[in-house]
Amino acid sequence: MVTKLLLESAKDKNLTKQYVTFWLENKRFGIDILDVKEIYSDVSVTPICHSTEDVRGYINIRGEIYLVADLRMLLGLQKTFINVEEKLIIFKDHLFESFGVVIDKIADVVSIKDSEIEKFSTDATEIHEGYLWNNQFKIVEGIFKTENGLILILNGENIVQSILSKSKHNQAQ
Amino acid sequence: MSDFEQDMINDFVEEARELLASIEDDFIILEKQKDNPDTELINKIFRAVHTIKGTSGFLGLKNIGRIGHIMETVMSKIRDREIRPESDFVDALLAGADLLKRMTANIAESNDINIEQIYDKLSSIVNIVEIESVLFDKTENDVKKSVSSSDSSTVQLNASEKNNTQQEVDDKLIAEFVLDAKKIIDTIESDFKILKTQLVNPNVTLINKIHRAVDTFKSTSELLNFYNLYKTTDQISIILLQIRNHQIIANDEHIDIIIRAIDKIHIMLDDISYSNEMDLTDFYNDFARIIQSKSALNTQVGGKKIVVSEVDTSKENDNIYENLTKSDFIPDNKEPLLIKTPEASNTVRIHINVLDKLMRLAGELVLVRNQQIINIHQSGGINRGIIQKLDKVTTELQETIIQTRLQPIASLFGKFPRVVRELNRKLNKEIVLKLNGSEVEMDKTIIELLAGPLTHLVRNAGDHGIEPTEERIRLGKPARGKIELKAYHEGSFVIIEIVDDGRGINPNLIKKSALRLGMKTEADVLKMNESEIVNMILLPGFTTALEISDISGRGVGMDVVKESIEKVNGTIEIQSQIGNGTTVYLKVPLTLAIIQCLVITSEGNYYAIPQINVEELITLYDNDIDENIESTGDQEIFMLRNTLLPIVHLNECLQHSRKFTKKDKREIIEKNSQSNRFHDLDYSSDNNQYCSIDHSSELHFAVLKYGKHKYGLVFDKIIGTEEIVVKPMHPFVKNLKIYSGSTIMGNGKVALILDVENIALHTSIDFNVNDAFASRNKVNKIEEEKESILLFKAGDKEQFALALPIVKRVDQINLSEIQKAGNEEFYIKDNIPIKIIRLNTIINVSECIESDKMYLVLPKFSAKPCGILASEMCDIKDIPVKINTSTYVAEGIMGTDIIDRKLTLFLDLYRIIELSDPSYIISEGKIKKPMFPNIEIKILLADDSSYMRQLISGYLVEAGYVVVTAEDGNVAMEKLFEQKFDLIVSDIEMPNMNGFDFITNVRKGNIQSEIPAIANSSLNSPDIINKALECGFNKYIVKIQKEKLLSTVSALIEEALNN
Repeated sequence: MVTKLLLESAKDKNLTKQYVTFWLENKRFGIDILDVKEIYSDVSVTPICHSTEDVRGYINIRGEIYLVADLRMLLGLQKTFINVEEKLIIFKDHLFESFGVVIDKIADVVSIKDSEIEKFSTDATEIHEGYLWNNQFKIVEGIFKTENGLILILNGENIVQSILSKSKHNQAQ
Repeated sequence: MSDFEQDMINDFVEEARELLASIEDDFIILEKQKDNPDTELINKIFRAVHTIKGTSGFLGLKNIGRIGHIMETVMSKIRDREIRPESDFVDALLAGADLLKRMTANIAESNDINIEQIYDKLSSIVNIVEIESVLFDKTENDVKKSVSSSDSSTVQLNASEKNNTQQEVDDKLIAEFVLDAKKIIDTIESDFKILKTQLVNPNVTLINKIHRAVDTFKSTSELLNFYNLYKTTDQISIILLQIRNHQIIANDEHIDIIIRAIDKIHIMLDDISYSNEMDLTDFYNDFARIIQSKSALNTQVGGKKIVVSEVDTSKENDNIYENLTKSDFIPDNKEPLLIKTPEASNTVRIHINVLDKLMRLAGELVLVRNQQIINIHQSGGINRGIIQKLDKVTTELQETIIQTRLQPIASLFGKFPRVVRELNRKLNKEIVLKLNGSEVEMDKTIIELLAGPLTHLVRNAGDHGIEPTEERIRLGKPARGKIELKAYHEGSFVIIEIVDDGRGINPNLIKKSALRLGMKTEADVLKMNESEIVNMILLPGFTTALEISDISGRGVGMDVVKESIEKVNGTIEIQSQIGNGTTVYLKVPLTLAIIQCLVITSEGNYYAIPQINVEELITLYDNDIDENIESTGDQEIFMLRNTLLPIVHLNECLQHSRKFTKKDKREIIEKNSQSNRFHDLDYSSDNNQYCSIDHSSELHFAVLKYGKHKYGLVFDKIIGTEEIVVKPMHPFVKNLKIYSGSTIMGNGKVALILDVENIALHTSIDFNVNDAFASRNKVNKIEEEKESILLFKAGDKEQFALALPIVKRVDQINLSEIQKAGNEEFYIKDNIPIKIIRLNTIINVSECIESDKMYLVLPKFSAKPCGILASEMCDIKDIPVKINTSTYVAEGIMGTDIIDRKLTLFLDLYRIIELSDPSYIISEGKIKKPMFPNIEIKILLADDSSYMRQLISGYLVEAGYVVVTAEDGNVAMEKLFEQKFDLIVSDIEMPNMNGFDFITNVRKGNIQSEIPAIANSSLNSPDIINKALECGFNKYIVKIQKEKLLSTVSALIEEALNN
């Protein structure tokens, strides 16, 4: 209930939302903290053969099996091989049940006013200042400028949508 | 439909199912006490039916409502002693209950189900009663009553019809009233249940509450001119007041009449417009009696008195059906009902998800505990006591949670009294059912799945097992047959026994049927013991129909039973003694959520295969891998005890995310056979890219089955078997059909559970093609593919092989008899000098060991006599040969094969002779090779012997031709359709289609019918040669004359080209 209230009030432009930020290929990303259930440091997953390459595999967290996706792949970035700093962001159930993504390195939680986010709804491959990736599913929904650089704001729902549609495509094959 | 409504419906279905299950037995009990039915029991049934009716009406489930309504009416008649629960009526009620069950099971289509037949049956009961009561009344000359009674019968009928059509009452006011009234009456009813528990010392507040509600009701119905409603409620109100004022001490009769009143109100409310036309005179009389008798109550046992008076009326009703004597009626039997406290609810309904979560958490707790235990060991045992406690509590917790999913088997056993009752009625037998171990608990899903098979088994036992009564008496058995159902625990399994004391199964009949149906051979049957024979009735398609009965033989459908038992990972076994009966043992696991799995690895990841799919595990070592795994072009196969088992590799299956095509399969086989071959000569280390499967030591595979298919799945390592908790696949990956779920292993890692059937589909195992291959290959294997091979040694290292057909003879010689002439050595036999060829002088092999006893291998068809010197004759073998040409190719060697685990070199005899001295080869004009340098000449070579194919195609390829081989005429025909050839070289003796038929077909056909063809056979009789030429061969060459064959080939081709 509290979450719902918070979500609703968050629509208010002047409200400050907190974002969990993290790094992916030297770019900083942020995702609404209300979408995040926890950050998990063990990323040793069981691969699921035949799945799309966005899917890393399964992981057991406290007796529950989570599906882990690779955020790099979802954004059309290169695959990494070994990265000890990788972390798992587990999403809350309201986004999708038992689901998380792997990111390169975790950073701070940042408070950002809604009005400070430069929104864009392009699905172009090139997003901003030479940042190149596939934004077909509008995973990146806006940009926030700080003194230290940009934070790209991600949309959790669209992350889920992108996997769902890809998995459907996989089935069609 | 909104979620809410769906939830409502789901709740309704759940409730209805429970209610129906609970009343089924009651019907049967009711039938038994037909003379003196237990009011409490009737009320229970009535309430159950009523609840179903009420809710279904609310949810718009018309059909359920109608059936519920008519059943309710029947029940009310029984309760009012208007009818007795005769078997026919109980039948009809049971049919109604069944129909309700069916409709609730398929709630969405319940309104489309045809209910008329059963509805009519039930309503006919109501009608009979009405008519009977008319008759009865007439004898009493109570005209007024008869009129009103028949009135009420029409009302009943109309009411039931109107139930469908009168759903929408226009008058909003009335509709609102009805809605309100229903709510009120429901509250009253539930309050009443509480009141019933405190009859002796009623709670005044509660009575007041009820009274207020009744009063409101009363005044509203008066206002709306619902006279009957008004009067009924008024009566209730009076009784309530009397109770409150302690004018009467409430007893069961009061409660009973109020419940009846409430039910009447329900009926009236359901059909409000007809409520005033209902005849309630009897009812009011009862009321009046009770109210009047109040004065007597303090001194007399009023309850009993009323019972007697009721009995009097119902007794006369009885007389209409049966001439019962009065002594049949024992009013004392019906004691005033004990005041029963309503069953205190000690159960809670919990959603299965909550249980699953609890289970999962408990599992995780076990893991944490395990880690903690390791930790304690490392830290030297501090707090050991606490950890031990944690350990114990965790285990107990897990066990308890598993228990929550379990249900007593009584819910399954409970339906059998009815099944047996029906059997008795239908078969005219007397069978007693004994239930044992109803308290045994098992997983709800399994209980549900067992219902079908168990019913089948009980029916079988009653139908075929138990003899007709007369026969039993004749045999000196008790007249009543007995079927016993027993359940008990055995480890993590539950055993269910179905025991009958009937005639048993006659093994001789089973044996005969099995033979007649061709399922077993005489020899098979001889080897079997009695119990094995009896258990044959579980085989699919088995029937003894001819012997046992015209309708169904014992065993029909037993395979279905077996299948469904196996579906829940159970087993079935039958024991039988002729004359003494049959016992069927079912062994089923306690729960399905936990299944036994074989855990294996592939590429370092864990996978689980349900144990139920695993037939056996096979590990092949070293040479066996290459020798026993063959391929048929696009399918690898393993010879498993005379059946061919298709083999797939889990690694490959996992790597190819798309369904295998024929091309994929061929590539995989290519890959595997290459790595196999490299392994032969220990080349594997140089060719790592092909060694995804480590052939250097062992190859594991599991023989898996699904349905009637079996295949082998190759994996890397066996971990062991484990009991695992199955979890469904995540929605994102649910489309991957090769997995049936996931699970967490003991080490905390996630493992995927493989779906055996879908892996077979994914890897495109074509079981049919394989069957065809099997039949063809079997013939080949046994008769044609085998070669007679002469194995011998010259040096101490190598073993050589020659095909026996090209060997003229082997002479034993003494080394001292060898004579030298220049560089050459000769051996004189029958005055003919035979040239001795030492293999080490021609090919790179070890030197010949010399001893007194030496051997000389003489070839057929050499121009001058010559022989290969050998030191030892090893063996002559008839074995299938697969010459591996790419492993060891040198001049004079055709290839290698592994025979008796030894690498064996197959000699190209003619090449060796040629190498030693070209003049020894029959040559009619030397072949200049290549003959036709500018064109590609394609030759189709048909020969059933792979050795010959290898040899002859070797010659032809050497001479510059392109050769396509076929193992028989059939295959050759196919090849001929596929591609264009310039010439055919064909053997005569071949399986499936021999050379004669082959060439005849070619000449008759319209594809390449003019192609030149050479017959090439070891048969050397004029008849055969003539026949071959007649059939259409251009030339006939006796095997093996290399030079003659080559020259003929080139001559024919030249001829063809010139034309």
